[in-house]
Amino acid sequence: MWSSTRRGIIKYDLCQGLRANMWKFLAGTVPFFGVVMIVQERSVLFSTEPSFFEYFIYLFKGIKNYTPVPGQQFEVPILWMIVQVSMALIIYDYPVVNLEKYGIQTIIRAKSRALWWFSKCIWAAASVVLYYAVGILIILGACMLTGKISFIADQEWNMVMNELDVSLITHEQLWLICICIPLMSSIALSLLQLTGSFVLSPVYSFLLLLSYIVISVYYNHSCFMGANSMILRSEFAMPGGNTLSGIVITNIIVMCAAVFGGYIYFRRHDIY
Amino acid sequence: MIILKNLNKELNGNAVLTDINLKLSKGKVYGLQGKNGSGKTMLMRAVCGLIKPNSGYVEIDGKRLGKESAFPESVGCLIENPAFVPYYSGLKNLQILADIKGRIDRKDICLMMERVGLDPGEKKPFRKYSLGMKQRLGIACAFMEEPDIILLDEPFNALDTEGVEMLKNLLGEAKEKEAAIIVACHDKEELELIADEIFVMENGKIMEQKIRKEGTCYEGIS
Repeated sequence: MWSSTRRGIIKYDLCQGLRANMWKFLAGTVPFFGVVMIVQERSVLFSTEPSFFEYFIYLFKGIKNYTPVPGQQFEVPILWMIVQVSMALIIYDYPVVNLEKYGIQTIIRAKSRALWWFSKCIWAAASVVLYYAVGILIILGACMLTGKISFIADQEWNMVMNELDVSLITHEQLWLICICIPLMSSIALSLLQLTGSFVLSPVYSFLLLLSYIVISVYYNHSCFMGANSMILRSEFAMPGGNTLSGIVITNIIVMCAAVFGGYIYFRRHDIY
Repeated sequence: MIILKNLNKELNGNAVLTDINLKLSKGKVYGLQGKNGSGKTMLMRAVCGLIKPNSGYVEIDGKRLGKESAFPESVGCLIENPAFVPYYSGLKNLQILADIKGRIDRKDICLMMERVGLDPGEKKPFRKYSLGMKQRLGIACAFMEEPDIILLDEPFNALDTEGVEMLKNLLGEAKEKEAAIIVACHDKEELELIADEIFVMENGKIMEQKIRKEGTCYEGIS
Protein backbone atom coordinates (compact mmCIF):
# COMPACT_ATOMS: atom_id res chain seq x y z
CA MET A 1 0.00 0.00 0.00
CA TRP A 2 1.27 3.45 -0.88
CA SER A 3 1.34 5.80 2.05
CA SER A 4 -0.35 9.18 1.78
CA THR A 5 3.10 10.82 1.91
CA ARG A 6 4.23 8.94 -1.20
CA ARG A 7 1.01 9.72 -2.99
CA GLY A 8 1.21 13.33 -1.84
CA ILE A 9 4.72 14.04 -3.09
CA ILE A 10 4.23 12.22 -6.39
CA LYS A 11 0.95 14.06 -6.95
CA TYR A 12 2.74 17.32 -6.09
CA ASP A 13 5.49 16.69 -8.63
CA LEU A 14 3.17 15.51 -11.35
CA CYS A 15 0.82 18.50 -11.01
CA GLN A 16 3.42 21.13 -10.27
CA GLY A 17 6.13 19.81 -12.62
CA LEU A 18 3.78 19.43 -15.57
CA ARG A 19 2.20 22.82 -14.94
CA ALA A 20 5.60 24.50 -14.66
CA ASN A 21 6.55 23.12 -18.08
CA MET A 22 3.27 23.76 -19.86
CA TRP A 23 4.77 26.23 -22.36
CA LYS A 24 7.65 23.92 -23.11
CA PHE A 25 5.17 21.13 -23.80
CA LEU A 26 3.30 23.36 -26.22
CA ALA A 27 6.52 24.43 -27.94
CA GLY A 28 7.59 20.79 -28.05
CA THR A 29 4.66 19.89 -30.30
CA VAL A 30 6.39 21.62 -33.23
CA PRO A 31 8.03 18.42 -34.62
CA PHE A 32 4.69 16.60 -34.52
CA PHE A 33 2.98 19.35 -36.50
CA GLY A 34 6.07 19.45 -38.71
CA VAL A 35 5.82 15.77 -39.56
CA VAL A 36 2.10 16.13 -40.25
CA MET A 37 2.81 18.95 -42.73
CA ILE A 38 5.66 17.14 -44.47
CA VAL A 39 3.85 13.81 -44.77
CA GLN A 40 0.66 15.49 -45.96
CA GLU A 41 2.55 17.51 -48.53
CA ARG A 42 4.15 14.36 -49.94
CA SER A 43 1.02 12.25 -49.79
CA VAL A 44 -0.01 13.62 -53.22
CA LEU A 45 2.67 11.33 -54.68
CA PHE A 46 0.84 8.24 -53.45
CA SER A 47 -2.51 6.67 -54.15
CA THR A 48 -3.31 6.04 -50.48
CA GLU A 49 -3.54 8.37 -47.50
CA PRO A 50 -0.70 7.93 -45.01
CA SER A 51 -1.49 5.70 -42.03
CA PHE A 52 -0.62 6.41 -38.39
CA PHE A 53 2.70 4.56 -38.82
CA GLU A 54 3.87 6.57 -41.86
CA TYR A 55 3.99 9.66 -39.67
CA PHE A 56 5.88 7.99 -36.84
CA ILE A 57 8.30 6.15 -39.11
CA TYR A 58 9.08 9.46 -40.82
CA LEU A 59 9.54 11.15 -37.44
CA PHE A 60 11.77 8.51 -35.87
CA LYS A 61 13.47 7.01 -38.90
CA GLY A 62 16.61 9.07 -38.31
CA ILE A 63 19.40 8.15 -40.73
CA LYS A 64 21.36 5.05 -41.60
CA ASN A 65 25.01 4.88 -40.55
CA TYR A 66 26.86 8.04 -41.36
CA THR A 67 29.32 7.48 -44.18
CA PRO A 68 30.73 10.67 -45.70
CA VAL A 69 30.54 10.62 -49.49
CA PRO A 70 32.40 13.41 -51.33
CA GLY A 71 29.99 15.69 -53.13
CA GLN A 72 26.95 14.26 -51.37
CA GLN A 73 25.14 16.42 -48.82
CA PHE A 74 24.67 14.88 -45.40
CA GLU A 75 21.02 14.82 -44.36
CA VAL A 76 20.65 15.75 -40.72
CA PRO A 77 17.55 14.13 -39.12
CA ILE A 78 16.12 17.47 -38.04
CA LEU A 79 12.70 16.26 -36.80
CA TRP A 80 14.22 13.41 -34.80
CA MET A 81 16.67 15.85 -33.21
CA ILE A 82 13.96 18.40 -32.38
CA VAL A 83 11.97 15.70 -30.56
CA GLN A 84 15.04 14.81 -28.45
CA VAL A 85 15.91 18.45 -27.75
CA SER A 86 12.29 19.30 -26.86
CA MET A 87 12.32 16.61 -24.19
CA ALA A 88 15.70 17.80 -22.90
CA LEU A 89 14.20 21.29 -22.55
CA ILE A 90 11.19 19.93 -20.66
CA ILE A 91 13.42 18.09 -18.18
CA TYR A 92 15.98 20.95 -18.06
CA ASP A 93 15.87 22.57 -14.59
CA TYR A 94 12.53 21.91 -12.87
CA PRO A 95 13.93 19.48 -10.22
CA VAL A 96 16.95 21.66 -9.39
CA VAL A 97 14.95 24.90 -9.24
CA ASN A 98 12.26 23.12 -7.24
CA LEU A 99 14.81 21.94 -4.68
CA GLU A 100 16.39 25.38 -4.35
CA LYS A 101 13.01 27.03 -3.79
CA TYR A 102 9.86 25.36 -2.54
CA GLY A 103 11.37 21.85 -2.65
CA ILE A 104 12.67 22.33 0.89
CA GLN A 105 9.09 22.37 2.14
CA THR A 106 8.25 19.15 0.29
CA ILE A 107 11.39 17.23 1.24
CA ILE A 108 11.09 17.93 4.97
CA ARG A 109 7.47 16.79 4.83
CA ALA A 110 8.31 13.69 2.81
CA LYS A 111 11.09 13.05 5.37
CA SER A 112 12.98 11.06 2.80
CA ARG A 113 15.58 11.98 0.23
CA ALA A 114 14.87 8.70 -1.57
CA LEU A 115 11.18 9.49 -1.88
CA TRP A 116 11.90 13.01 -3.13
CA TRP A 117 14.41 11.70 -5.68
CA PHE A 118 12.25 8.85 -6.97
CA SER A 119 9.32 11.23 -7.21
CA LYS A 120 11.41 13.43 -9.54
CA CYS A 121 12.34 10.34 -11.58
CA ILE A 122 8.65 9.47 -11.88
CA TRP A 123 7.95 13.05 -12.95
CA ALA A 124 10.67 12.86 -15.64
CA ALA A 125 9.32 9.56 -17.00
CA ALA A 126 5.72 10.84 -16.83
CA SER A 127 6.71 14.02 -18.70
CA VAL A 128 8.17 11.95 -21.54
CA VAL A 129 5.10 9.69 -21.64
CA LEU A 130 2.84 12.75 -21.74
CA TYR A 131 4.95 14.31 -24.48
CA TYR A 132 4.59 11.18 -26.61
CA ALA A 133 0.88 10.99 -25.79
CA VAL A 134 0.44 14.56 -27.05
CA GLY A 135 2.35 13.59 -30.20
CA ILE A 136 0.17 10.52 -30.74
CA LEU A 137 -2.97 12.63 -30.33
CA ILE A 138 -1.73 15.20 -32.84
CA ILE A 139 -1.00 12.49 -35.39
CA LEU A 140 -4.30 10.72 -34.74
CA GLY A 141 -5.99 14.09 -35.23
CA ALA A 142 -4.17 14.52 -38.55
CA CYS A 143 -5.25 11.01 -39.63
CA MET A 144 -8.86 11.83 -38.76
CA LEU A 145 -8.80 15.12 -40.64
CA THR A 146 -7.43 13.49 -43.77
CA GLY A 147 -10.05 10.77 -43.92
CA LYS A 148 -9.45 7.73 -41.76
CA ILE A 149 -7.35 6.39 -38.95
CA SER A 150 -5.40 3.42 -40.29
CA PHE A 151 -2.82 1.36 -38.44
CA ILE A 152 -1.64 -0.56 -41.49
CA ALA A 153 1.71 0.65 -42.77
CA ASP A 154 1.83 1.11 -46.53
CA GLN A 155 4.69 -0.69 -48.24
CA GLU A 156 5.09 1.66 -51.20
CA TRP A 157 4.91 4.73 -48.99
CA ASN A 158 7.61 3.50 -46.66
CA MET A 159 9.92 2.18 -49.37
CA VAL A 160 9.88 5.53 -51.17
CA MET A 161 9.66 7.96 -48.28
CA ASN A 162 11.35 6.13 -45.44
CA GLU A 163 13.63 3.57 -47.13
CA LEU A 164 12.04 0.90 -44.97
CA ASP A 165 10.55 -2.40 -46.16
CA VAL A 166 7.60 -2.78 -43.81
CA SER A 167 6.64 -6.15 -45.32
CA LEU A 168 9.47 -7.65 -43.23
CA ILE A 169 8.10 -6.18 -40.03
CA THR A 170 5.14 -7.55 -38.06
CA HIS A 171 2.40 -5.27 -36.76
CA GLU A 172 3.61 -5.73 -33.17
CA GLN A 173 7.20 -4.93 -34.19
CA LEU A 174 5.97 -1.74 -35.85
CA TRP A 175 4.40 -0.60 -32.58
CA LEU A 176 7.66 -1.42 -30.85
CA ILE A 177 9.98 0.47 -33.22
CA CYS A 178 7.64 3.41 -33.80
CA ILE A 179 6.40 4.07 -30.26
CA CYS A 180 7.81 1.82 -27.53
CA ILE A 181 11.52 1.95 -28.37
CA PRO A 182 11.69 5.73 -29.00
CA LEU A 183 9.66 6.25 -25.82
CA MET A 184 11.91 3.98 -23.80
CA SER A 185 15.08 5.60 -25.17
CA SER A 186 13.68 9.05 -24.41
CA ILE A 187 12.87 8.06 -20.83
CA ALA A 188 16.40 6.68 -20.39
CA LEU A 189 17.93 9.89 -21.79
CA SER A 190 15.70 12.05 -19.61
CA LEU A 191 16.65 10.17 -16.45
CA LEU A 192 20.30 10.52 -17.41
CA GLN A 193 19.80 14.26 -17.89
CA LEU A 194 17.95 14.53 -14.57
CA THR A 195 20.87 12.93 -12.72
CA GLY A 196 23.33 15.11 -14.62
CA SER A 197 21.43 18.25 -13.66
CA PHE A 198 22.15 17.53 -9.98
CA VAL A 199 25.70 16.20 -10.35
CA LEU A 200 26.81 18.95 -12.76
CA SER A 201 24.19 21.64 -13.29
CA PRO A 202 21.08 21.90 -15.48
CA VAL A 203 22.99 23.85 -18.13
CA TYR A 204 25.93 21.46 -18.36
CA SER A 205 23.67 18.43 -18.26
CA PHE A 206 21.59 19.88 -21.11
CA LEU A 207 24.67 20.74 -23.18
CA LEU A 208 26.17 17.30 -22.60
CA LEU A 209 22.92 15.70 -23.70
CA LEU A 210 22.87 17.86 -26.83
CA SER A 211 26.42 16.77 -27.65
CA TYR A 212 25.42 13.17 -27.02
CA ILE A 213 22.46 13.50 -29.39
CA VAL A 214 24.64 15.07 -32.11
CA ILE A 215 27.28 12.33 -31.71
CA SER A 216 24.48 9.76 -31.98
CA VAL A 217 23.67 11.11 -35.45
CA TYR A 218 27.20 10.63 -36.74
CA TYR A 219 28.22 7.56 -34.84
CA ASN A 220 26.15 4.40 -34.44
CA HIS A 221 26.92 2.47 -31.29
CA SER A 222 24.63 0.99 -28.69
CA CYS A 223 26.28 3.27 -26.10
CA PHE A 224 24.85 6.25 -27.94
CA MET A 225 21.30 6.04 -26.81
CA GLY A 226 19.97 8.43 -29.40
CA ALA A 227 20.92 6.02 -32.17
CA ASN A 228 18.81 3.37 -30.46
CA SER A 229 15.63 5.20 -31.27
CA MET A 230 16.42 5.65 -34.99
CA ILE A 231 14.35 3.16 -36.94
CA LEU A 232 16.77 3.13 -39.88
CA ARG A 233 19.53 1.86 -37.61
CA SER A 234 17.50 -1.06 -36.32
CA GLU A 235 17.91 -4.63 -37.47
CA PHE A 236 14.73 -4.16 -39.56
CA ALA A 237 16.31 -1.52 -41.74
CA MET A 238 19.89 -2.63 -42.16
CA PRO A 239 21.86 -5.85 -41.79
CA GLY A 240 23.72 -5.89 -38.49
CA GLY A 241 21.54 -3.04 -37.18
CA ASN A 242 20.64 -2.57 -33.53
CA THR A 243 18.56 -5.48 -32.27
CA LEU A 244 15.37 -4.87 -30.31
CA SER A 245 16.62 -6.93 -27.37
CA GLY A 246 19.95 -5.07 -27.38
CA ILE A 247 18.19 -1.70 -27.38
CA VAL A 248 15.83 -2.72 -24.57
CA ILE A 249 18.70 -4.05 -22.43
CA THR A 250 20.82 -0.92 -23.01
CA ASN A 251 17.87 1.31 -22.11
CA ILE A 252 17.13 -0.62 -18.93
CA ILE A 253 20.79 -0.47 -17.85
CA VAL A 254 20.94 3.29 -18.48
CA MET A 255 17.64 3.88 -16.64
CA CYS A 256 18.76 1.89 -13.59
CA ALA A 257 22.21 3.52 -13.58
CA ALA A 258 20.67 7.01 -13.82
CA VAL A 259 18.03 6.44 -11.13
CA PHE A 260 20.23 4.64 -8.60
CA GLY A 261 23.39 6.61 -9.40
CA GLY A 262 21.40 9.79 -8.94
CA TYR A 263 19.98 8.53 -5.68
CA ILE A 264 23.44 7.67 -4.30
CA TYR A 265 24.61 11.17 -5.21
CA PHE A 266 21.49 12.86 -3.87
CA ARG A 267 21.74 11.05 -0.52
CA ARG A 268 24.87 13.12 0.25
CA HIS A 269 23.81 16.25 -1.62
CA ASP A 270 23.72 19.41 0.50
CA ILE A 271 20.55 21.43 0.02
CA TYR A 272 21.35 25.10 0.45
CA MET B 1 15.64 17.33 22.84
CA ILE B 2 17.90 18.54 20.02
CA ILE B 3 21.61 17.89 20.46
CA LEU B 4 24.29 19.27 18.17
CA LYS B 5 27.64 17.70 19.02
CA ASN B 6 30.99 18.91 17.66
CA LEU B 7 29.23 19.89 14.45
CA ASN B 8 31.48 21.04 11.61
CA LYS B 9 30.53 21.85 8.06
CA GLU B 10 32.53 23.09 5.11
CA LEU B 11 31.05 24.20 1.83
CA ASN B 12 33.33 24.74 -1.17
CA GLY B 13 36.34 24.81 1.13
CA ASN B 14 34.87 27.41 3.49
CA ALA B 15 34.00 26.54 7.07
CA VAL B 16 30.34 27.52 7.52
CA LEU B 17 29.86 25.82 10.90
CA THR B 18 32.70 25.21 13.32
CA ASP B 19 32.55 23.08 16.43
CA ILE B 20 28.92 23.71 17.29
CA ASN B 21 27.77 22.17 20.57
CA LEU B 22 24.19 22.83 21.63
CA LYS B 23 21.46 21.20 23.65
CA LEU B 24 18.00 22.54 22.89
CA SER B 25 14.95 21.56 24.90
CA LYS B 26 11.31 21.54 23.97
CA GLY B 27 9.04 24.33 25.13
CA LYS B 28 11.67 27.03 24.65
CA VAL B 29 12.49 29.70 22.13
CA TYR B 30 16.15 29.86 21.12
CA GLY B 31 17.55 32.84 19.31
CA LEU B 32 20.42 32.82 16.85
CA GLN B 33 21.93 36.25 16.59
CA GLY B 34 24.60 37.29 14.16
CA LYS B 35 25.47 39.25 11.07
CA ASN B 36 24.79 38.06 7.54
CA GLY B 37 26.98 35.06 6.76
CA SER B 38 27.59 34.22 10.41
CA GLY B 39 26.16 30.70 9.97
CA LYS B 40 22.63 31.10 11.40
CA THR B 41 20.87 29.75 8.31
CA MET B 42 23.37 26.91 7.88
CA LEU B 43 22.80 25.88 11.48
CA MET B 44 19.07 25.72 10.78
CA ARG B 45 19.67 23.70 7.64
CA ALA B 46 21.77 21.26 9.63
CA VAL B 47 18.96 20.86 12.20
CA CYS B 48 16.53 20.27 9.31
CA GLY B 49 18.76 17.58 7.80
CA LEU B 50 19.24 19.57 4.61
CA ILE B 51 23.03 19.72 4.90
CA LYS B 52 25.25 16.87 6.03
CA PRO B 53 27.95 17.66 8.59
CA ASN B 54 31.58 16.89 7.76
CA SER B 55 32.02 15.81 11.34
CA GLY B 56 29.90 15.73 14.45
CA TYR B 57 26.19 15.11 14.44
CA VAL B 58 22.68 16.37 15.03
CA GLU B 59 20.52 14.19 17.28
CA ILE B 60 16.79 14.73 17.66
CA ASP B 61 14.89 12.80 20.33
CA GLY B 62 17.68 10.20 20.42
CA LYS B 63 17.83 9.72 16.65
CA ARG B 64 20.87 10.88 14.72
CA LEU B 65 20.10 12.73 11.53
CA GLY B 66 21.60 11.06 8.50
CA LYS B 67 21.80 7.70 10.27
CA GLU B 68 18.64 6.73 12.10
CA SER B 69 16.52 9.29 10.26
CA ALA B 70 17.09 11.56 7.29
CA PHE B 71 14.95 14.42 8.59
CA PRO B 72 13.36 15.38 11.90
CA GLU B 73 10.05 13.59 12.52
CA SER B 74 8.07 16.81 12.75
CA VAL B 75 9.53 20.12 11.66
CA GLY B 76 8.17 23.36 10.26
CA CYS B 77 10.48 25.93 8.79
CA LEU B 78 10.81 29.28 7.17
CA ILE B 79 14.35 29.39 5.87
CA GLU B 80 15.53 32.47 3.99
CA ASN B 81 12.77 33.85 1.79
CA PRO B 82 9.33 32.25 1.78
CA ALA B 83 9.26 30.33 -1.51
CA PHE B 84 6.04 28.95 -2.93
CA VAL B 85 4.65 28.01 -6.31
CA PRO B 86 4.25 31.45 -7.92
CA TYR B 87 1.05 30.81 -9.85
CA TYR B 88 -0.94 29.13 -7.06
CA SER B 89 -2.93 31.04 -4.44
CA GLY B 90 -1.77 31.01 -0.84
CA LEU B 91 -4.40 28.43 0.13
CA LYS B 92 -3.54 26.12 -2.76
CA ASN B 93 0.16 26.35 -1.93
CA LEU B 94 -0.44 25.34 1.68
CA GLN B 95 -2.97 22.70 0.63
CA ILE B 96 -0.53 20.87 -1.70
CA LEU B 97 2.13 20.89 1.01
CA ALA B 98 -0.31 19.69 3.68
CA ASP B 99 -1.44 16.88 1.36
CA ILE B 100 2.05 15.35 1.52
CA LYS B 101 1.65 14.48 5.19
CA GLY B 102 -2.13 14.36 5.17
CA ARG B 103 -2.19 15.42 8.83
CA ILE B 104 -4.33 18.54 8.53
CA ASP B 105 -7.28 19.40 6.33
CA ARG B 106 -8.44 22.47 4.41
CA LYS B 107 -10.30 23.83 7.44
CA ASP B 108 -7.13 23.79 9.56
CA ILE B 109 -5.21 25.55 6.80
CA CYS B 110 -7.89 28.24 6.49
CA LEU B 111 -7.79 28.81 10.24
CA MET B 112 -4.02 29.16 10.18
CA MET B 113 -4.18 31.60 7.27
CA GLU B 114 -6.68 33.70 9.20
CA ARG B 115 -4.40 33.56 12.25
CA VAL B 116 -1.56 35.10 10.27
CA GLY B 117 -3.85 37.74 8.78
CA LEU B 118 -4.35 36.28 5.32
CA ASP B 119 -7.67 35.71 3.60
CA PRO B 120 -7.97 32.03 2.61
CA GLY B 121 -10.49 33.01 -0.06
CA GLU B 122 -7.95 35.29 -1.75
CA LYS B 123 -7.58 34.12 -5.37
CA LYS B 124 -4.47 36.19 -6.05
CA PRO B 125 -1.47 34.04 -7.03
CA PHE B 126 1.53 33.99 -4.70
CA ARG B 127 3.70 35.98 -7.12
CA LYS B 128 1.35 38.94 -6.72
CA TYR B 129 1.54 38.91 -2.92
CA SER B 130 3.25 41.82 -1.19
CA LEU B 131 6.44 41.06 0.76
CA GLY B 132 4.51 41.14 4.02
CA MET B 133 1.89 38.70 2.70
CA LYS B 134 4.61 36.35 1.46
CA GLN B 135 6.22 36.41 4.88
CA ARG B 136 2.87 35.73 6.58
CA LEU B 137 2.26 32.77 4.27
CA GLY B 138 5.73 31.44 5.09
CA ILE B 139 4.93 31.73 8.79
CA ALA B 140 1.58 29.95 8.30
CA CYS B 141 3.41 27.15 6.47
CA ALA B 142 5.90 26.71 9.33
CA PHE B 143 3.21 26.58 12.02
CA MET B 144 0.25 24.93 10.29
CA GLU B 145 0.99 21.30 11.13
CA GLU B 146 1.87 22.08 14.78
CA PRO B 147 5.38 20.64 14.42
CA ASP B 148 7.62 19.68 17.36
CA ILE B 149 10.46 21.78 15.97
CA ILE B 150 9.97 25.21 14.41
CA LEU B 151 12.81 26.97 12.60
CA LEU B 152 12.32 30.59 11.60
CA ASP B 153 14.96 32.51 9.69
CA GLU B 154 14.50 36.28 9.95
CA PRO B 155 10.74 35.90 10.55
CA PHE B 156 10.24 39.61 11.32
CA ASN B 157 11.29 40.64 7.82
CA ALA B 158 8.60 42.69 6.07
CA LEU B 159 6.14 42.35 8.97
CA ASP B 160 4.28 45.39 10.24
CA THR B 161 3.60 45.99 13.96
CA GLU B 162 0.43 43.91 13.83
CA GLY B 163 2.35 41.12 12.08
CA VAL B 164 5.08 41.16 14.73
CA GLU B 165 2.41 40.85 17.43
CA MET B 166 0.77 37.96 15.57
CA LEU B 167 4.11 36.15 15.34
CA LYS B 168 4.79 36.63 19.04
CA ASN B 169 1.39 35.12 19.86
CA LEU B 170 2.04 32.13 17.61
CA LEU B 171 5.45 31.60 19.19
CA GLY B 172 3.90 31.75 22.67
CA GLU B 173 1.28 29.15 21.75
CA ALA B 174 3.83 26.84 20.12
CA LYS B 175 5.99 27.13 23.21
CA GLU B 176 3.07 26.12 25.40
CA LYS B 177 2.57 23.09 23.17
CA GLU B 178 6.18 22.08 23.94
CA ALA B 179 7.67 22.87 20.55
CA ALA B 180 11.38 23.63 20.33
CA ILE B 181 11.68 26.90 18.46
CA ILE B 182 14.78 28.36 16.88
CA VAL B 183 14.61 31.91 15.56
CA ALA B 184 17.45 33.48 13.62
CA CYS B 185 17.57 37.25 13.52
CA HIS B 186 20.22 39.87 13.00
CA ASP B 187 18.28 42.33 15.18
CA LYS B 188 19.28 41.94 18.82
CA GLU B 189 16.29 43.87 20.20
CA GLU B 190 13.68 41.81 18.30
CA LEU B 191 15.31 38.59 19.42
CA GLU B 192 15.50 39.63 23.06
CA LEU B 193 11.74 40.15 23.08
CA ILE B 194 11.01 36.51 22.28
CA ALA B 195 13.98 34.25 23.05
CA ASP B 196 14.64 32.34 26.26
CA GLU B 197 18.23 31.79 25.24
CA ILE B 198 20.31 33.56 22.65
CA PHE B 199 23.37 32.24 20.84
CA VAL B 200 25.54 34.85 19.24
CA MET B 201 27.19 33.53 16.09
CA GLU B 202 30.17 34.79 14.13
CA ASN B 203 32.01 33.09 11.27
CA GLY B 204 30.17 29.83 11.82
CA LYS B 205 31.02 29.66 15.52
CA ILE B 206 28.94 30.24 18.63
CA MET B 207 30.73 33.07 20.37
CA GLU B 208 28.38 33.75 23.25
CA GLN B 209 25.36 32.26 24.98
CA LYS B 210 22.90 34.44 26.87
CA ILE B 211 20.07 33.16 29.06
CA ARG B 212 17.01 35.22 29.93
CA LYS B 213 16.81 35.97 33.63
CA GLU B 214 13.80 38.20 34.22
CA GLY B 215 11.75 40.12 31.68
CA THR B 216 14.15 40.96 28.89
CA CYS B 217 17.26 40.85 31.07
CA TYR B 218 19.87 38.37 29.81
CA GLU B 219 22.84 36.82 31.53
CA GLY B 220 25.86 35.90 29.42
CA ILE B 221 27.32 32.50 30.29
CA SER B 222 30.11 32.17 27.78
